[in-house]
Amino acid sequence: MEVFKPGMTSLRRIFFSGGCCLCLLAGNARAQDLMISAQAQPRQVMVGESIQLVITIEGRANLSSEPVLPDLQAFQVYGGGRSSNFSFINGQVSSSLQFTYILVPKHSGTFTIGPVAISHGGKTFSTEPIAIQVGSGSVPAPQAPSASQPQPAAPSVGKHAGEAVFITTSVDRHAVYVNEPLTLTFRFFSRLPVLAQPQYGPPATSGFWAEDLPPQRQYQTVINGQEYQVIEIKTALFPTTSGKLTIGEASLAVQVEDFNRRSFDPFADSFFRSFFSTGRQVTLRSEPISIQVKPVPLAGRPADFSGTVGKWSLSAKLDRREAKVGEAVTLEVRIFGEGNVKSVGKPLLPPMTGFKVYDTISSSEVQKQNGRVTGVKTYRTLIRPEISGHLTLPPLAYVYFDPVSEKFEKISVPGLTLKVLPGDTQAAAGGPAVAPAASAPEVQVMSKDIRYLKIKVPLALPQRPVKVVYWILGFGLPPLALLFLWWQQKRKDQLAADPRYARRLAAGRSAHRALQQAQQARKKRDAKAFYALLSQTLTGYAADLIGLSRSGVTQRELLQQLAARGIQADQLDSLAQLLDDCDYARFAPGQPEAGEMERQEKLAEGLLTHIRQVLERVPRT
Amino acid sequence: MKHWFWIAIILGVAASAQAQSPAELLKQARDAYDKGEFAAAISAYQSLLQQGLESSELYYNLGNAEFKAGHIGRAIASYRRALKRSPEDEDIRANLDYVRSFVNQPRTGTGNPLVQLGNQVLTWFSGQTLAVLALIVYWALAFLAAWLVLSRGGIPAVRWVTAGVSLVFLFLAGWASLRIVLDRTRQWGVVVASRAEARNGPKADYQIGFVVPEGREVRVLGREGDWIAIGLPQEGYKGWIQSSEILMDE
Repeated sequence: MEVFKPGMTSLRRIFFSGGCCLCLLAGNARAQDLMISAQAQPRQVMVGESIQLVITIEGRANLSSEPVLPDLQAFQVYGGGRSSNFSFINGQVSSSLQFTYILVPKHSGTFTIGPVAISHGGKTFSTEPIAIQVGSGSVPAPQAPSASQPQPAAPSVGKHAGEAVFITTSVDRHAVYVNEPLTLTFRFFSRLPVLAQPQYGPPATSGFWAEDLPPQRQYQTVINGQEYQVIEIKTALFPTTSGKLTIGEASLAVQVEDFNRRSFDPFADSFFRSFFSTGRQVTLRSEPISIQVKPVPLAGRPADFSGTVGKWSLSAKLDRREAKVGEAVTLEVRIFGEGNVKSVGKPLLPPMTGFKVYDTISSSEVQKQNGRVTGVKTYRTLIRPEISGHLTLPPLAYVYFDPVSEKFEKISVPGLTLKVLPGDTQAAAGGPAVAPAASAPEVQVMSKDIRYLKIKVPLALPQRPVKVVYWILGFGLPPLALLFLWWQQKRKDQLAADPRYARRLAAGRSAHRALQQAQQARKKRDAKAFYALLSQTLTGYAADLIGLSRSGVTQRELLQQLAARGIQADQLDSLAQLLDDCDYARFAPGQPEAGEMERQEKLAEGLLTHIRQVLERVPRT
Repeated sequence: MKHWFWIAIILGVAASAQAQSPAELLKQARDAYDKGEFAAAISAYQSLLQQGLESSELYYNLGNAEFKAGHIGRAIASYRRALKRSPEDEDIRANLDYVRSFVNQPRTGTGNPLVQLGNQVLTWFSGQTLAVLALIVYWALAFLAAWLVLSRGGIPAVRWVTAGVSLVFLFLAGWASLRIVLDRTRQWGVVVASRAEARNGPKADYQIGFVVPEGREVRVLGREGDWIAIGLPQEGYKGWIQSSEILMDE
């Protein structure tokens, strides 16, 4: 059962008692370049219910100051958020500031929210007053449940059961996705009078984006037959990263009556006891809470996933239906729904043919009602049509992850059409003024796009890399060829410089050739030619190897030189005999026998071989 | 009997699709592109690539269709592949620059125009093309050297020509080497997912380090299973994204 108790500490004043109803009223002040307006909704509430007061300041100036609120003693006031928008249209800056407050009436009756004022440029602008009616009837849950309404279920207090004062923190779920909200509830239980304003130390929420959820609640509950006053504060937490995160301990420093004295003074009046008691200071702490944060699943994730989590809707509009070429038009895309509004990602704008697209600015508006965080994120993009006609912007799509259904959802809006009228030349040029030549017409850029397809498309199998062996051959052969060429050249030079050596090298080849000719002559039965060639071969070969003149050398001289170089005597005799036989056969009449010629040829071959073997061992002179 | 009829129909359709010649597919793609049916154009161009055919023009046209279909990342990847095959093609550069203007990407390189020109020149030809050019000049140099050997020094003019050709060869060989080294050590890719979450390791369990928007060109640093290590040289970030979220240069 809850009872309204005036004079309690401020944390405890915000609830209780019956309600009435009130109204919404709006007032505004307009000036040449500034306008301030206030809106309150709803206009009729019960005590303990919340009213949203929105102050909007618009103007062509860069606004930065905050409005001054009037005296609002009849309400508990909570800061609800601030959002701002800036836009540059046709070179002029336009801005708007929006301040949101949550007001919770403390008493029933009719109250007036006085003029909200703001100073700008030496002038003060203010809104009209707004009348609010607060009913004194029963307070609906959850703000302040009345006696006629069911009591909230007694929260689980675990090990604290039986303690006079304690605090608890709890969450509505322990496993969530990244950016999926969870509600952290802080409760202060006391069955002793609180003597001073408690000092609340909120828990550390590293890894979370926190949004407070006003108003705080106060009610009574019964635990194990004992009546407690409960103060409840809720906070929405959005995990920003996956993994195991921890919500730290909360603390509350509170001064309560020292109940030890009470036990020694059982007859003292409790009122006076409270009045004169100095109390004692206690610091209460809660337990940390672990949260398992799951990443957004990779399976089935569309390529155009925006990264946003929650439950969202999409809308888009242009600020006008008709514009001239070159005029600025604002495309406003609104993503609204439930979730962490501030983390809502930018929608991907498709290529807009015929438009020049400028930067996008965003603003967000967060609302907190009934323990839920909702709101809208607005993206405004300045676009400038560059051609005339009925231009259609492509459809917009946005993909987010719904943690409830655990599915990726795609929301879209159809394409928007803008009627573009021809503008003046300067606007059509789509940029700053360019002074045209005196008389020659200038090139006008009417639209910008990618270049067209290639008409001729040759197709081929992929170019395979050239094999390494070809590279080795390609780069290896030329130096080898050059080396060989150089060696040949060098050898040629050497032979030219040493004729004896050249003769010696060529002796074998010429002897072989001469022997072959002699053999042919023998086969033709040309005895004279056969013996002449045989004699020349033997004499020439020996002369080449020794270095004597072929034509000038005599048989005697030749035999002496060969004997001096180690040719055996019997071989010399054979040679002398063969040379004599050759001379005789050349000049004597008659035809020798075929067998004799063949024998002499073989003898010559044997002699040549012997001479080569012996003379090759002898160093050159 | 009825089943056989449908099987025959399906096989017939499949056979006719397979029987489409490259010329027919190209015409089909162009017609679809002109009608604004960009998905059909992409499909036709992809069919040609799947047949093992390719050219810079094919990748260029595919890039156009991808861009018109709103796939900025895939468009940039296709243009990059086209440019790799025809670095001198001015149309590819123009479209690539235009599509890049839709992506929030810091300018690469320094602001020095000479450095920018140098980077551009470096990528004019592929490494293999440069190597073949260097080989041709090398053979010319070899013939000149042979002539000098045979003519025992030759005339001074030929010697000067040989020296000049030697310098040309050294320049081409250096250019080719640099290009090949850069190709092998600096691979690039383009993010094709609308929002690629780069994690601190090659697993979904690792925390997200940073998020890369579609169309952003990134350095490819390595691969581990289905995860690709990427780097953003301008920002100095490194992270891992899924291989399905990136198209690499080929």
